[in-house]
Amino acid sequence: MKQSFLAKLRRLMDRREIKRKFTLVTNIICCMIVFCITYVLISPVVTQEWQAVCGMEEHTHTEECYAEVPVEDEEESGDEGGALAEEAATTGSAVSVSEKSSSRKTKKVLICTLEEHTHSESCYYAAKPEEEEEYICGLNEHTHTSECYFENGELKCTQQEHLHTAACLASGENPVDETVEEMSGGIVPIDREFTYENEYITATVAITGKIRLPETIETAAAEETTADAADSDDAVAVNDTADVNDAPDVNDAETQGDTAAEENTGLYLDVVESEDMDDYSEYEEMAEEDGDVMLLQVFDYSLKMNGEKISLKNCTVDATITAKPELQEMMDAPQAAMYAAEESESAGESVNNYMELTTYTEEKNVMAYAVVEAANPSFTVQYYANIQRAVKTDIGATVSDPNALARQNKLLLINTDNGSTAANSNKGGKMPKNGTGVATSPNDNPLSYLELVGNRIKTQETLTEIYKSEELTYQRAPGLMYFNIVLSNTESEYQLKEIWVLKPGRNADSIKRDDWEIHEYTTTTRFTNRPETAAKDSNYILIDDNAVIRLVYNPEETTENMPAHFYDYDITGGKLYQTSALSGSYYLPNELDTALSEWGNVYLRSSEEGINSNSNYQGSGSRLAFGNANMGTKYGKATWDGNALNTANRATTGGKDSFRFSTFGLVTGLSGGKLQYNTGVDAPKLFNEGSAAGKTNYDNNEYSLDFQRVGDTYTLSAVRGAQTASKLDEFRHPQSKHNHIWTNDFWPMDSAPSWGAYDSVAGVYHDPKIGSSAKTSKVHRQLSSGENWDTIAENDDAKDHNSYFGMQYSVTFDLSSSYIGPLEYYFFGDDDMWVFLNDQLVCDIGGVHSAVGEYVNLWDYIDRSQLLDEKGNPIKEPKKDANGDPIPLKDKNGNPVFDADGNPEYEMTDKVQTYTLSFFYTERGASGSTCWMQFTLPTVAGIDLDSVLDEQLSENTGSLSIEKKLQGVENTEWFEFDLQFEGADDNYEPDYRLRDANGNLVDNEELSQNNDYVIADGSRFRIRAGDVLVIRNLPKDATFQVTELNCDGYQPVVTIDGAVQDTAPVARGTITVDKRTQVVFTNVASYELPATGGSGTANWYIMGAALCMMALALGYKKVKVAREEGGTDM
Amino acid sequence: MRLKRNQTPVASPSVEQLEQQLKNERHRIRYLYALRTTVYTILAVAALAILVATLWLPVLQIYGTSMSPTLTEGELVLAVKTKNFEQGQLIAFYYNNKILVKRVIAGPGSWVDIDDEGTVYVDRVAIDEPYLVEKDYGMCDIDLPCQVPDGQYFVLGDHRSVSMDSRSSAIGCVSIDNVVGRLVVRIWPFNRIDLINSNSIE
Repeated sequence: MKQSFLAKLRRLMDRREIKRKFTLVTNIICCMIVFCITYVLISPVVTQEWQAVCGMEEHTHTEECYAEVPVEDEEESGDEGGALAEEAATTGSAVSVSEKSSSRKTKKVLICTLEEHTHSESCYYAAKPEEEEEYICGLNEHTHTSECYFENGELKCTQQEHLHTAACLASGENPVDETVEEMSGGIVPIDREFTYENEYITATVAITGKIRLPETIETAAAEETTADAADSDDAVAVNDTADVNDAPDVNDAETQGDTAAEENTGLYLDVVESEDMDDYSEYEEMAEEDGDVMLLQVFDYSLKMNGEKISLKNCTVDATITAKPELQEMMDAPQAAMYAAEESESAGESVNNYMELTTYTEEKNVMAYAVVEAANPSFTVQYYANIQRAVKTDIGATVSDPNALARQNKLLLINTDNGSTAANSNKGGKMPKNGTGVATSPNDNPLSYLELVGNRIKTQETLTEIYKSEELTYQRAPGLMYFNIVLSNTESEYQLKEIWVLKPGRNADSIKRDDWEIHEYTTTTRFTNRPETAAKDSNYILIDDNAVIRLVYNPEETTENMPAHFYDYDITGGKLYQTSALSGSYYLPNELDTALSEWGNVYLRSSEEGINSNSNYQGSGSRLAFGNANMGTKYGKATWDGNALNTANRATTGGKDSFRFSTFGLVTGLSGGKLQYNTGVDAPKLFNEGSAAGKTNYDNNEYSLDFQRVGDTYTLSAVRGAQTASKLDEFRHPQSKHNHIWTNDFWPMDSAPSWGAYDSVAGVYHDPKIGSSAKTSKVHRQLSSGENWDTIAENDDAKDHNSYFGMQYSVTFDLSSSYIGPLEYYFFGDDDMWVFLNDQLVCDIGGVHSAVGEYVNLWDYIDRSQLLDEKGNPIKEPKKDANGDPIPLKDKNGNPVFDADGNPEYEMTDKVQTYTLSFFYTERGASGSTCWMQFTLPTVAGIDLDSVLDEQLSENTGSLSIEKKLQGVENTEWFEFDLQFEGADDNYEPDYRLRDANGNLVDNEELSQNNDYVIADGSRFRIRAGDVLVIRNLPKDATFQVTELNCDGYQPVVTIDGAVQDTAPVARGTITVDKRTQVVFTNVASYELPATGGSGTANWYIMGAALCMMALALGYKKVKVAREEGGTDM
Repeated sequence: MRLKRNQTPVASPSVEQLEQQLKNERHRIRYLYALRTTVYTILAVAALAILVATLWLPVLQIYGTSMSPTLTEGELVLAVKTKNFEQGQLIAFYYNNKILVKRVIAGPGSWVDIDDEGTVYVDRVAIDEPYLVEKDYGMCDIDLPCQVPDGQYFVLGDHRSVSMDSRSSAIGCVSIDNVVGRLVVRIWPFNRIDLINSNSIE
């Protein structure tokens, strides 16, 4: 019994323990479920801030943005510091030096790649154009004219004479805003200029922004609005509330000196001379840095209304102090000059002194000026750069063995230099002539050569004067920003490296460093006219009288990519036949290997095929053709003016013995961007003239050129396209056995997609790639007249190539009036190479010839008469801002500078002429291909050849480009435009081209099939972001109106030639002859909510309700079962 | 008892067998009972959790910086579904199928003005805003002063320079119908668990 009780008790306890554990586990599970459900049900909630569209990240440099760089010793410190400073100058970063110990220093170098930036209002959205004021009068402006009356004088016009007044404006009828009347926050905009005068100076204080009016004014405003505001003099106070800009200015000349009663009713600038001697001490100390202080005045000023001071915290204050004529006369007076001279002589100086007005207006509420006496030395600034140029060596008029010269790693050049310089330009280059002998100079110049060092052309960095020196005075040019011509003209091609100051008694033309005191340039370098300052601070370079300062620049190196057009030509019928019958079975060009393995030999047509097709020639002259006699073309032995036209020009081939077998004079110039061939030369449309049989155009950005740029010197280094042809700035022998041939393997068409493809224009397949001996010996070209069937000559490098191609590109360069540095062009290669400066031929190596070079001094072709005045000095023009307005010259204090007559002076810059250099090149033979070129020109820019095409516009026409851009969002949405022309002939024939965002040309036929795409007056078209539509041949003075039809959700911004229009989304303008007017429609995306928020809570409500229902149902069932069981038990 | 042909006699189960059978049956019943009870409990708890989290105390996760320093990105807060709140309290509200959180500045009928320094005036009285790090006028394209329409609230973010709130005509004043609830407690991160002080405007 006892055991039974104990067992029951133990079981009971076990059950309780189990139940407790079970409850614990259940609770844990419940907690986990609650957690999971809660976690799943977390809703994202957005605090919502503006999305900046500036594209920059907010960032402020912290300690983590800097790294410490150890410096071993003083000397090293100086060098490295200079390098770092130079780097800092380049990157805009900061460098500071700190001393950690006496023997070891460290520098803090900014390593952060982010720029410091804090978002401002402009970062968030583009400025909205001002809304046009709405007239509510319901009348149109109209004044009766003679047309409004009958002959008897009776009025026939039904319109009422009316001119809009302020009362017609929606805002004019209710000048006091009700909200202002009732609940004026007291904040009003202000855009006022106040003037203060005393006996010496006139101070102008421009205040813009918002101010909060004193409460007394607000109260007065509210009270006044209950009275008749219209006829009350005190309405000023009301208007003050609405627009303080109408309030009287008690500091105006007319109102100055009025009583305080007027001050009580107006907004005025209260100016008093400071009584704080600390202020005087502070400004005197600052002024003494500029010279001896002769006069100093400090003013406190504040904006007041009703005598109460108004905070300027939210205003921009621009204060200027100018000397009144009385003070200016005092400063210019002979006695002042005499005094100054005496002072300087007594100080042992011989420089001219001058009185200078120095102003201090940076602080709000305080301004000061000082008249200081300062030395005004005259000095000369020279501009030199270390320019990297090819080393050209002249030899005699005849070279005995050109191949022997080549074996000495020397590349022969035709030197066309006629000795022109910047000072004596436009002499005309010495163009080569035919028939002077294959190894004799083709002009009166000696021959030259370029030397190879390693596999590159030998270059040398030469200290060269690049801009004409200037005579300046310290008073007019107290700092680098006033005379850094290189910086303003060439942007990033050069970086200022050193500043040389000529030592006494040395030659100013010397380039020996010993003759100069050399200062390494850093961003902290300054100039001073005060020996004390220079002695005290090594950052200052002293300018004394007659000093000669030389700014020495180092070139910057980079790779520049420029657009180019390529053309792939074919000269065969494309099909590879089994027999010389040229019929029956054939293989396609890209099946050459198969054909050779099956048949052993193949035969192809090449007499008048492809680009040499009879249909390509329009005239009756000698036919310029491709392929020469090696390929069996019919025109292999054609001659022009006694010269071999399509093969080596020498007597043995029926031509004249010309230098390196060239044929000079095939072209005469450019017209409308097209080659002009010499009389008697008949050529196919090889370049930008249009389509031709056997020609594939790659004029759609498929190819571009890489130039290695060092300063202003550009060397062709690669062709980018289907496959990059690189290392074009290196030379090599095609094979070891050809050690007299130097080539850079210029085969950019080897991977052109046209190779082996079907040419729909010519109706044939493209040429096979042939060149290796394994193929040339088995491929038989067509029989030419008088010749037997023959195989094809092996290529110099015994490799298969896609021969026969052309290249065309253009660059522009800006020639400023002060530029006197080199303007030169080098070419080495084969075959035709024609270069034009604007439309003038400057480099001519025509014909199918051995690789040869040519040097062009472009000064021979530059007419500087438009850039120089009658005395031969560079013409300067005022610099202009983005709006085309001249930029006022400001002195080192930031104050405007006026000439002796009181007229404002402007920042001046060199007058600039822009030149276009156009290059045309062909590879016409099949033996080898070489094209090396280098030019040294200032401010070069590759140009889209489309703009060159604009030069082919009809006479008296211009073009219009319409570009679509999106800002703050990316999509492929179509945007529709309405196009209106006035002044365009109804018969205007649409001539347009559309490039997509990738620069690809959209086929016009494809566009014309699109009903949405009709370019004519009154038509509509649509483009997407990145698209550029160019409409050409628009008549002179025709006006256009382009309207973007639907830009909901965007802020439209319209620019015409870079100038923002206030007519968005409408662009209006006039067509200018020979100019492309560029219209850009930019849609700035409005704010966009972040993609958060989920699917909402509805689903969870439903799920919760369903679970509740389920729980209730299960609970009910359980109770029911329990009841049933309980009933049974009973 | 007479057996039919081919019918084998069945032995009566022993007492032990019956007791074992009874024990098994009881165990099965207890097991099923426990299982059922557990499932019911879990379902009830889950339903209760869903209802509480959706109808009464929604949990919100903060995205964005325009309520800093009061709320920073990634924090979890509990909101109470209510239509009663005062100036200075933080509310969440629907806007374009999103839920935004801002601070209530003024209620219906109040006049709101902001000066260039960013000081906010409600009914001409500058309000004290200790929760701000820096005042800023921010991006405001509405006409000030403005009166808050009936049934709406004027709300601002605490990071005034970047906050997009009632100062923007795109959002404007918030209708009370769109209000999700009032933020009451921060539950994550743990080291910042606290009541969200209303910082009532004085």
